[in-house]
Formats: sequence, structure tokens, C-alpha cells
Amino acid sequence: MSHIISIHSFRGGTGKSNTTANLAALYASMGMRVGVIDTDIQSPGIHVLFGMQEDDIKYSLNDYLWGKCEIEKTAHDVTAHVLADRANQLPIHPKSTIYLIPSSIKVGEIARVLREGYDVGLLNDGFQNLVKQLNLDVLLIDTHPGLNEETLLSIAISDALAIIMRPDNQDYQGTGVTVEVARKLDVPRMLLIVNKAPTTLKPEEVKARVQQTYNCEVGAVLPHSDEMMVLASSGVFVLRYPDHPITTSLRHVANRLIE
Amino acid sequence: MMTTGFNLLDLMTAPPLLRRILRALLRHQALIEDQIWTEIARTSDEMPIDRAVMESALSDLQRRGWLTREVRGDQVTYTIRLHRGDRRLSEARLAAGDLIEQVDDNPRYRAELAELTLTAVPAAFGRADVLDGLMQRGGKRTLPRNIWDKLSSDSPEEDRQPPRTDESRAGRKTGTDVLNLF
Repeated sequence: MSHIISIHSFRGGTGKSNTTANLAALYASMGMRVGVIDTDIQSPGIHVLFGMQEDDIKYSLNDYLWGKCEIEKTAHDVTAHVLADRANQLPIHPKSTIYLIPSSIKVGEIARVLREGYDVGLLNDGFQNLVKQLNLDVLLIDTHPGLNEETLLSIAISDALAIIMRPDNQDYQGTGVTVEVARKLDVPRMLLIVNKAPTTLKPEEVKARVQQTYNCEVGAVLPHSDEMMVLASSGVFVLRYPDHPITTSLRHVANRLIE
Repeated sequence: MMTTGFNLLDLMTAPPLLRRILRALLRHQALIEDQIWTEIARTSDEMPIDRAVMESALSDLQRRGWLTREVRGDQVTYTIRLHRGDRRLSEARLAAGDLIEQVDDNPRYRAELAELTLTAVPAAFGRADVLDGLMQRGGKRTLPRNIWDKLSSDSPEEDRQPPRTDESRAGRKTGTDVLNLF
């Protein structure tokens, strides 16, 4: 059975794309066929983590939504790139494949989608067709922050939802909203991930407080990490640091999301 | 009253059984009645239902115009009618605003978690995040619409430019170049 998992946060800059890429790599290390779709059409970025540049993108999600191509054509196999990076320490299973469905990074195309919107029903058809056509075990949806029609759709069709928040006043209220919305949409499994926690905080204390406040399982409290900052999205953290405590926490999250 | 389909807000506010049927159809695009029954039974551990109740719910959804029913031979196939228009985007935002007000009324979120920050997070972390917030406001997330429109009106010119050569590409600074400065 395939899993559709949305990675969401109410505010931007919480680490959605990094978390999505890390989960993709972890599922690939388990032997799964993984799709990663960047639905953050207004501010795409996850392609950078997989080493893709503008010229590498033949067809984007935008092309599909404007009826220029089938959704399968937008899927770029990035497994070879991951394997070619000798800095990566975590082995990808030989049977695994990672497909990335990027959004366009051309300014004019981003502007067009903001101005005209798009058919959210077509986006749903695209999700389902990707799972079928690429025979995916997992489809990870990297969402746009906040709440709009496409994020509601992503949440509504997901088997599991990971909501990322930081221990910061600006995140608390919006995270509450997102949790409430996900409950109204009957998402079967929901996990909170507290990211970029200052190292002065006790993870267990943060976990207990957040869990109690939102009445929702906390999958991980990820501390601020210098290694992550230095990596600066030039690669996927878990591939570079397979034995790091953050990787262990993310592995736990990956397993919980598909249980 | 017959409508042209449902949107995600309709889904959020629909009764639980209708939500479960719609979610199943969103995932599978089209299902025959037996498959819907299997899906509903699978997700109804806490609230088992009669098949007759499900059939009544399917009729209700059809009356609302949220489903289409097609008879092919012995089988009845249902497909969803998700509203396909960006007009509803603004409605979704309005509803999100309502929800924020609801949560705002709930003192738990503010009091308990604010305490966590006030007692434990160093002031320096708070300052860094304020800066981050300011950058977000001035950056891509909330770029005013008229700026986007301006960028969009410039885009045909970008399309008319000759294809990039390796030479022209070499003159551009890429993200990697910037990172390499460090």
C-alpha cells in the first residue's frame, strides 16, 4: 500500500523542505520508491537539496497544471545524483528510486500561477496518478506554508501529516490552527516536529509541553545544528550524517509516519 | 440544491460519514459502491455504520452535487466533483481567518507555550528570529501582488531572450558560487 505524507508548517522557514528531503532519503535507504512533489509553487526550493538547477528542470509541476504535459513527465529521477555524491555516507538501497517533481523557478511562471491560480482538482489527479504511474511506495508533499486551497487538499488526501514548528511565539498560534484544520479533515496520523530548538532547551521538556498543549504526538524535537547550518541546503543531512542524533530522530519520524 | 461540486471547506464542515466517503474518493478518484463500503468499514473502527446508512449518505452527496454516479453494467461507480476554480481560494483564506480567531480565543495556546519561550529561550534566539521574520515579510512569502504582476508582465521579454550559452551562464552568479565564498 502506498503512503501519501504531507509536510506542512503554518509559517515559512521552519525547515519543511529540508525535512521532506531527509525523509525521502531515509525511505530510499529502506528500499522504497519515493516521490517528492514541491507544491510550494510560490517559493520553490527543494530541488536545491537534490542538486538540481534551473536548466535541469525539463517539465515542472506548473507545466502539468497548465495542461502542457502529463504529470509523469514532470518526475525527475534524482537517485543517480544522490548516489554520485561521494560525500554521502548513507547507502541508498539498490532497488530504490527518488523522483522529484519540482515547481518552476522561473519568475514569470511563479507570477503567472499567483495571478491566475490553478485547478486544485487537477492537482489531486496529479498526486494520485503519480502514485500509480511511478509505482510509488511513498509520496511526500512539500507544501506551501500557511493555509490555502492546495494545502487543505494536500492535508485532506494524506495518510499522514507532519507539522513542523519552531519553539517560537510566532509559530504557536498558527500550529494550533493547522492541527485543528487537520483534525477537521480527518487525517489518520499526525505528528508534530519541533525544529531548530535551542540547545539550551531540554528536548524531553519541550516534547511534553508541546504534546500536552496540542494534544498531538511529537515525533521529534530537533536541536539547532551547526552541521545543518554549514551544509546550508547543499545536500541532504541524513545522507551526510547517518549516525548523527538528528538522523536518528528523523528515522523515528519516518517510521512513525508509515506505521 | 444542486451545486457544481464541493471545495475543501465544504469537506471540513461536512458530517463525519460524508467526510470519510469524500476522502476515500479523493484518494481513489473513482470507486464502485462495494469499494466505498470496504473503505468506510476499514476506517470506522470507533463508529461502525450500517450499509443502508452509507447508501443514504451517497444519495445525500449526489443530491448536493458533490458526487457523480454512473451505472456500468452491474456496477455503480462514483466519482467526486471537486470544485475546480481559483475563486474559492479567497474563501479558503477567509475560513482560515475564522479559525485563527477561534484559536486566538483559546488561551491554552498562548499561555502555556508562551511560558516555554519566556522561561527557557535565550533572548538572542528571539532576536535572530525577529530578523528572520522581517526578512520573510520583505521577501518572497508576502511580495505584494502588484510587484508579482510587474514581474509577470516582464516575463515575455525573458522568453524572447536567446537561449543561454555556456558563456552567458558562466557570467551568472549561482547559489553555489555564493556559498563557495565561505
